Amino acid sequence: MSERMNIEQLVRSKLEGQEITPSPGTWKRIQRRVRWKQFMRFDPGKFNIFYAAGVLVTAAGLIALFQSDPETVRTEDRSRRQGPAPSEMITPVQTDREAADKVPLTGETERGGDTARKNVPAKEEVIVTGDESAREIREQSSGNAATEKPPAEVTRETAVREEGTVREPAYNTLVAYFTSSATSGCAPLKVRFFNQSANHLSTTWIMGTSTPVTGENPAYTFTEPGRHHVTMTAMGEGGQTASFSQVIEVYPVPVADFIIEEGLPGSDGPQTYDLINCSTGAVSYKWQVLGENKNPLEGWASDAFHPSLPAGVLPGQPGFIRLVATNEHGCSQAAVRELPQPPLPAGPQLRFPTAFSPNTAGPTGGLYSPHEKRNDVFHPVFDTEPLDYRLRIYSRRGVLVFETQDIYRGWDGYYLQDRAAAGVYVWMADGKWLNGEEFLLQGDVTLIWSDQR
Amino acid sequence: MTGDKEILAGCIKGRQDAQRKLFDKYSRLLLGVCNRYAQNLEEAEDILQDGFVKIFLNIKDFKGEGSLVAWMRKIMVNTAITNYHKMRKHRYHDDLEEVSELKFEDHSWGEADFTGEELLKVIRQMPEGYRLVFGLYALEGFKHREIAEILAIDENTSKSQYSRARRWLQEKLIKLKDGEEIVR
Repeated sequence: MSERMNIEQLVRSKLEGQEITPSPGTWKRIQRRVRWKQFMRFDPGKFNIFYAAGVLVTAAGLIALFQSDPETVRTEDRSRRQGPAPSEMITPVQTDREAADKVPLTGETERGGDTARKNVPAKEEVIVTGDESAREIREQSSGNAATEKPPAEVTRETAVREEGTVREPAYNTLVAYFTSSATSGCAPLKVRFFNQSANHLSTTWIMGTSTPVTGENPAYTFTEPGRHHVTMTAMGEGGQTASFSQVIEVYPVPVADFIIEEGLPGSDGPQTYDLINCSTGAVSYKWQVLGENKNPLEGWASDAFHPSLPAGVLPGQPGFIRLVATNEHGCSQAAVRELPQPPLPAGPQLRFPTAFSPNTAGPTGGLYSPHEKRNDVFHPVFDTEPLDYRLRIYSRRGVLVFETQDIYRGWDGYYLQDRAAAGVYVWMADGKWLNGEEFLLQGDVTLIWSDQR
Repeated sequence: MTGDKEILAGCIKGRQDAQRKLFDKYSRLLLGVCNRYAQNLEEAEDILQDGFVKIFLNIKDFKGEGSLVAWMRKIMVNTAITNYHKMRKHRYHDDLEEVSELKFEDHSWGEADFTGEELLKVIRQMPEGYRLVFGLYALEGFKHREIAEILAIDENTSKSQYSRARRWLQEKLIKLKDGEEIVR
């Protein structure tokens, strides 16, 4: 089933999107080097070494000029500070508490007074979204505070949500939030998570019973059915953390299984295949006939549990039966089995038994019914009636004990109205088939009297 | 979520928060790229740092032709190559064993045959010259002409190195799959 690929495709598929999380100090080092290089580079729009040098020269000149008037120097000093701010300067860092307090405010104003969800300190805020199976729990806490305060006092806040989107909170406010490609499905369920957090440095994910993984948008395959809690913890610049969880519901998958039993051939009616359903965990079934190339064929389909397939559906060609078993969650599995090859039509033939046990009550006259499986008359078994037929049976001494030209009359084991002796007799059959082909067969048969020993 | 466009605009202005966002968003992927050209993770991180510094200082040169990620990848790869030249003093052909030029039957592989980790370990064991050419061609999608330029070698050398690298890797993987060799 799985596709084969060449070495380039293999390497690409495995390594193309490979992600490795850099070690924690990497960003700081890059930042330092970028700032230094920017500072050393001439750029009229930015504060850099040339500006700094210019400012120094100017300041020195001014100091020399107005040394007698200190007031002027102070003014000059102030104006320099108010000049173009260095681009490296960033918004003042908010403390965690400020950050936490700020979000609900913006949330409320943006929602235009919707006070349904306030910043009420609660143990857990449960938001039922459009998808009922997804229970989303949102919490935010200060990493440092959490260790000092009892958990109940940790500030928690509601998600700032509107029509499924997250409002970008003020800069530096850590918000943990993610979406997923699915919230429920059949096992094995592969789910990709999309990190929508704001102002986070790193995120750690705990999915089911797996070991924590880091990464921005990890994917995980849930193999075990059940409810799996997925928790993402985002860490902010100040070391504070925020978590968000979601439940992924994984449904079990039924097992589709069946065997094909051949109906009895040649007796009454056309041949059938009995499809014996061995599936487990399913509530509905769909049966289909597939052709040699496994494409579905029209003409027969069934929803029954144990259907019977008429052999005429696939006259003389190989084929397959597919069963799709589905459970109450809509999860399904398919099983495909090859149909037994119908036996090749052999040339007409007569087959004789090697022993028989006549009726002990007296001569029956030897007439028999071809569909009756009895053994008190010695006669051939055949599919096609021959055109000409003669059967002769001799005792070991060479006495002809029975002769007939009627294929529907066999030997009843009596000779001249008396029981023939138990033992071995030799038979010879000759005649002609409908196609003109002649036959001559011979063999022996043991006569057994069931009341003698 | 901030889109690439906003991040890019911010980075061009030299805004630090935008640089930070760019780093957060792509550093993992780009470290994965660097890691394929480095001997170890430490070296890969050095390449990543150098690369990001170049990215931030030159981001205004990014013309928006092709994707930002592709552009950054290219910078990382170029940084890795520069690093390679610096570290190995150009002894390009020396680490190549002689491999016969016989046509090698192409083996086909299944998705589940190896993990990314295993593959990377085998690729790291590759002779340097093979690894660069193989990575540039198979993973980065460079043409042999470009590789020749980057590595300062002949175009034909690139081609033959590539087919040897391919064969080398193939043999290693077959052995690995048959369990003859355990990758450490």
